[in-house]
Amino acid sequence: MAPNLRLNAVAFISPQNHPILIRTFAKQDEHSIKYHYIAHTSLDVIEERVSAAGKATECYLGLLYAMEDVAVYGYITPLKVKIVLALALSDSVVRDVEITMIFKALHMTYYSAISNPFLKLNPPTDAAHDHSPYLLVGSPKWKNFRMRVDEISRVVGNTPNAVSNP
Amino acid sequence: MNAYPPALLAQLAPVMFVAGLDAFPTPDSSQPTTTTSTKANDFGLLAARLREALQTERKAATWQPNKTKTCQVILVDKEVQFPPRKFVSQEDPRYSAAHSLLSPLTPTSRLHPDGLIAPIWILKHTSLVPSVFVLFLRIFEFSPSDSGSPLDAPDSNRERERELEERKRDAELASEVVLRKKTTNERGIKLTVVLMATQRMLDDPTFDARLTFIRRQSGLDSPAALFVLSPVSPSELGVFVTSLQQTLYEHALEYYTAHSKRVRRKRNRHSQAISYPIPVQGSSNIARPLRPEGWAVRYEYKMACFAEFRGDDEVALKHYQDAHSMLVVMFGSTTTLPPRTYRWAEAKALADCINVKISRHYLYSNEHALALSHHNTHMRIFSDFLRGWGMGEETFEYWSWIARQHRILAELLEQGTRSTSMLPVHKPNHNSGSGGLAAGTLEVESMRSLGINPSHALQHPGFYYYMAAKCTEMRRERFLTALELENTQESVMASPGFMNEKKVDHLTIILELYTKAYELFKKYTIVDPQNPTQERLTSWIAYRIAHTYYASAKYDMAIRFFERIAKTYRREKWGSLLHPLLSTWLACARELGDVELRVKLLIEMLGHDIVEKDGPLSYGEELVAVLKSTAPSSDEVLLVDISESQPIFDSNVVFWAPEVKVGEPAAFQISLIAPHNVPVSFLPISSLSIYFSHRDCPLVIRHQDSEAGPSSFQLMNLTNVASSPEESGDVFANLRWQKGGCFIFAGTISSELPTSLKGLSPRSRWLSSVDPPQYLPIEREASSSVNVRHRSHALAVSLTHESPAYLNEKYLFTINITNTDTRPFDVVVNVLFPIEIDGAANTIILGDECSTNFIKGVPFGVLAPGVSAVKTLYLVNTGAPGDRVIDISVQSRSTEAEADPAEPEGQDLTETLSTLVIPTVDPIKVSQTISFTRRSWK
Repeated sequence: MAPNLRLNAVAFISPQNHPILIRTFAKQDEHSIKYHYIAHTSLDVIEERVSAAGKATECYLGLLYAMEDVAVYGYITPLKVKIVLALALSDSVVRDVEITMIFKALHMTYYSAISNPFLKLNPPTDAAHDHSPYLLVGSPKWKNFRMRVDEISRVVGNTPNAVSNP
Repeated sequence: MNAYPPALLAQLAPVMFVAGLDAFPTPDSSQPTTTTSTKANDFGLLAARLREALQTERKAATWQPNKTKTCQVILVDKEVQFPPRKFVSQEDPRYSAAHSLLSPLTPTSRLHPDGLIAPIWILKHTSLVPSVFVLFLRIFEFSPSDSGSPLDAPDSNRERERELEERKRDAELASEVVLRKKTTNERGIKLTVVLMATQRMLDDPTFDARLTFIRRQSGLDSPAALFVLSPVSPSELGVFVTSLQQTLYEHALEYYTAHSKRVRRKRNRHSQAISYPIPVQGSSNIARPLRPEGWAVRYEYKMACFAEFRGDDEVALKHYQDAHSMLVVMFGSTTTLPPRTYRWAEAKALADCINVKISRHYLYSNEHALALSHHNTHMRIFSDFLRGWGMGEETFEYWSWIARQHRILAELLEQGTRSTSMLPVHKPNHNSGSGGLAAGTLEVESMRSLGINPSHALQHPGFYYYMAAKCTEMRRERFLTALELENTQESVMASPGFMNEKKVDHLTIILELYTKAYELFKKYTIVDPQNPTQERLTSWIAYRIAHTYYASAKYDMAIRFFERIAKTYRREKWGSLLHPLLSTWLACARELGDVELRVKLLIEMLGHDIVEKDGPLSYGEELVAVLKSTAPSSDEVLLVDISESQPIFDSNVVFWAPEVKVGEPAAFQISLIAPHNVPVSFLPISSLSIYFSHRDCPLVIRHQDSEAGPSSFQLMNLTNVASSPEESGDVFANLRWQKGGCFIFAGTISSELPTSLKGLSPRSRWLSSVDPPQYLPIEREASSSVNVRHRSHALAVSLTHESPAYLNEKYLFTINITNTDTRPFDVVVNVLFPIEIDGAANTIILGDECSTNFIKGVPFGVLAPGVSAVKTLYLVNTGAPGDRVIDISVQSRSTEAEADPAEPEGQDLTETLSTLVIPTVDPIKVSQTISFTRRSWK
């Protein structure tokens, strides 16, 4: 049986390609910058896949690349928010169904997080870079989003073959 | 690949020796051919062409998958000697018991007593001993001039002389062949002789007899042993070369099959009888003979190589795999192969090379997953071994080896992708749910349709070069640690490996690897023409290159890279990537002593609002220190344009109302908020300029020290900012900010012309109370811009008529316009009368104008304030009755403003529209009824 999937990091990237939230679950803090690079470079592959697929783009973009000790998967929501997943590389087949399931859970988490009406209240003046208030869901002020993402990572890591035997 | 003997990596192919071609001088094409040397040149040219044609057939390379059955041609001297097979001569009675020169059992061999396979063994088979030997020889001919004139009487003496001479020459030739045949026969090498003769000679009736003589004399009776070639055209020569290759290929295969059989026999004999003594533990210094596992590796490897020579890839793969697993067994025991010995290093290189050959085999057949899986397994097994040998992740040896493995895969892939290999695309299979593959497919296939194993997903070679570079970085890190340890402890760490490592220029290697990765990433980027910004992966690698330059103290090179990469990161606002870049960039600027750059970078970094100390000073303090201590390189004002990057202050412009009338003051507030984390109070700001779009020069606010010191909140009322600079003097304020402090400039501006005043901040709030500061959010979309419009004109328009109208009547209709404004207006009226009823023909008459549907621009003249104008409009409706709709537009234009016809927006023009519905009926309606009754007959 395939071993558990282990999430090393999750990144949410806005349609304008600005980072919303980059959450790392790996222990070493000095490597967290690595996942910023991974999230950023993934955009190249995501754009390539999206433009190659034309209008018939599926949300799930599959394995983007594998480098060092992680395999990077991508997902794009219909509103062009990109979700990037860095899985710890292990020598086993990763089933697309499982990854898609994780992505859907992350998508729903993001979706419910931005439904928070208080996000639009009193937006800080210093967040003048992006027109979308949704970037704010990743700010440390809104803990719920982070908690839910962490929860997904925990569940994925603890459940053996989380979704492979429905 | 340079890390390994090329002989162990090269793709093997049957070897063909070609001799005798250099006997003919290459014709010098620059010299005009004289008639006397034509024939010699013919053969010279032929030989040159042959050399070329034979050598282009196949080139020795690591990546050579083509299955055209051709031999690897090596041009040799006619007198070439093969290396002796054994130490003793064949005549010696000990010959059969003696071993090959290269055998570990031969005391003079490099492999004595326990070596596995030396590259020289492969070299022997690839360059010293062929499988077929082609000898080109020129058959003796008298030159045509010697033969005398055909008119001469036949001279029997002369004929006999010539015959004898020919016979003598032919016998010489045959003995030469015999000599050669002896050496080739010894080794089972096929000898083929190609006799070169002129066309004239071929036609000579004596030629056949001579040929038979030579064949018999030299024993060239077997098939494909003797060819005859005369100077022919290049295309015919090509045909000859191909047929030669094809004919001899079979013989080459036989040669290698014989070798395989011989080795297999030896292996079988060996596995049955192990007669070599097992060495005593601890006696590692004494020469120990090769153990059975070692012999097994030798035989498997040799059989694999001979199979590879034959082109039998499946068999080769099997033997290589066996050899590899046997090597793994050997490495499993430190007594068999004690670590860090010469034999151990040799065996490790052999294992690595076998791994490359296996991976390459899979790549030839586009089995990417298998190739990568084998490569990874090899790396995993041996990194476990390395840990066991005390060369784990904490040593440079470990990383050096890992880097080498990544690099060789990258190099193999790079060579492969240049020719035949295709890289797979890892896109998810969206049709996996269709169930079409459900029954009858292999389990592997169905697993593949469900997903892929990321560690078996082959990517372009750039990734592996990147990995190699990354591992070399680790290697350098570990090496530096070891060096430090050596310096502090003065311990006896001076192992030969460490001494060697000291000579390695790690940074150059890292740079080379990153550069290769960069080029490949660039090559494999599919640029979308609509969105040519895909340079994130390359930026990432460029960043690593810049870092390497920084580490190797090439600061100017590093700066060049940083400049380009920073643009990408700034544009995409990835602060987390920009910060480390800026701090390394700054370090470069410090090293170079570039004051201007340092100031620029420090200002940019202040804007990022990060409290990250880099050295003893914070960025702000460093900036002040730089400004105080150093002199700029020129007297010019240093202008730091940070429009691309994040500004230090968050500035925000907000207008209270979205729209004002001309001349009406528009209230605005400009707020400047200092960073929250980085102190900026010590920045010696001397003045602040606010630029307005309606003024040519900015409003300058100068710094004036105040006793209060930097404040957290200031409000400055600028009142009405005049449109001309002369009217306003300089303004003074305390331009020092606390952390997160806010300075608000409030005021009004007005415009005499309709325009749009714009700020640039998207979200804004309006300061509504000073103590405590309170804000009202301004929710409208363009809160930082205001539109200035003309006031609308006050005109009273009344339309009098008495409905309904009758058909064919001249219906009367009065338009009365009164100017109730304070300004005079030029008034013009347009009447539109659309036809909406079928069969209705209508006419409108206004003054002199008459039209069926539209009267444009009827002037009412300039109306002074309070003045009225009246015009009468007639309407004639014909056809069917029904409602008629009429649109009347009254346009008034200010007589004061000079209108710019190019800009309709800017014109002071008001249009009043009114729509009338006029019911139209028949003037006379006649209705008749007739009724009759039938009288009943009685």
